[in-house]
Amino acid sequence: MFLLAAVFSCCGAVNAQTVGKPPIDYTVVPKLQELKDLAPAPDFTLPNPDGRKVSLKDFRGKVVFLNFWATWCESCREEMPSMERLYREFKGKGLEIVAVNIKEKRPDALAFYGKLQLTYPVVLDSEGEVGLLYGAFGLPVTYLIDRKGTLLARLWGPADWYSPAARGLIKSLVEQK
Amino acid sequence: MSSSRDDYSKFTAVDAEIVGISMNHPLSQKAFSDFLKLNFPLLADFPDGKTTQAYGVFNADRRLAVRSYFIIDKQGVLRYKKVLAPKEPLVENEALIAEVKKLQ
Repeated sequence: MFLLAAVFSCCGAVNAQTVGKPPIDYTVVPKLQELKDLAPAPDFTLPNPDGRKVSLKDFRGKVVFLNFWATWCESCREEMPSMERLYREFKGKGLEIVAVNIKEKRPDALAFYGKLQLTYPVVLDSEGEVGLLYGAFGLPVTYLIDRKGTLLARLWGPADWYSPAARGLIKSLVEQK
Repeated sequence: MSSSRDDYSKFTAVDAEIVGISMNHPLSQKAFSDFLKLNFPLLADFPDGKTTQAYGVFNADRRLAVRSYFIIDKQGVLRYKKVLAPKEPLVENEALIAEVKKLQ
């Protein structure tokens, strides 16, 4: 629905600030945008490759790196090895990666995943509903979510997630209490 | 939406504001707005679509808003309504601006 109003009024977005936490510089990763309204990450439940249902809330208490990808996405292929390296360094330190495959056949997604020898968790969004929810209009899309389930930052496009800057950022996030 | 963004100054030139509404989740709306760099607000009529229903454009089967246009005058009176049929082309911005001018 499109509303064209001759009179318009709207309320400004609440720009809550973190209190008592050292500031995090998200700009160290090119094009990573801080999400300043500190909204809760909407929960979802999707099957993993074994068919077991996985919910975002299962990872509450960890910093979540939520990534949307597809096999046809060259940029996704480009960044996934760096995500794997990041995961291996930080998975025991409070980081979880959740990689949501968008609108693809299960065998295709799994073959691609296996070929890249990835070990971080994948879930399958065959209908693309979670992708729509999180604005995966172009792939890849990555969200960083804090231990309490708050959306911190978003990036449309690929990144070198194992660069010193990205590792420093993730280190700062997992060390935040 | 992107054409509305590009023509936004033409709407404000006739003292009109643009508000977009859908039944998507607020996060989806924000992502869409950020992705397209929209210069007008998108509102989330989520989850129940009360506003969508009030305007008579609620698609109950698909639980979404039918694409439609409304023009409300400065007194808050609904003066123009256009609900698109499936596959019907969008209303051109020039036509919407012409409708606004009729109210002045």
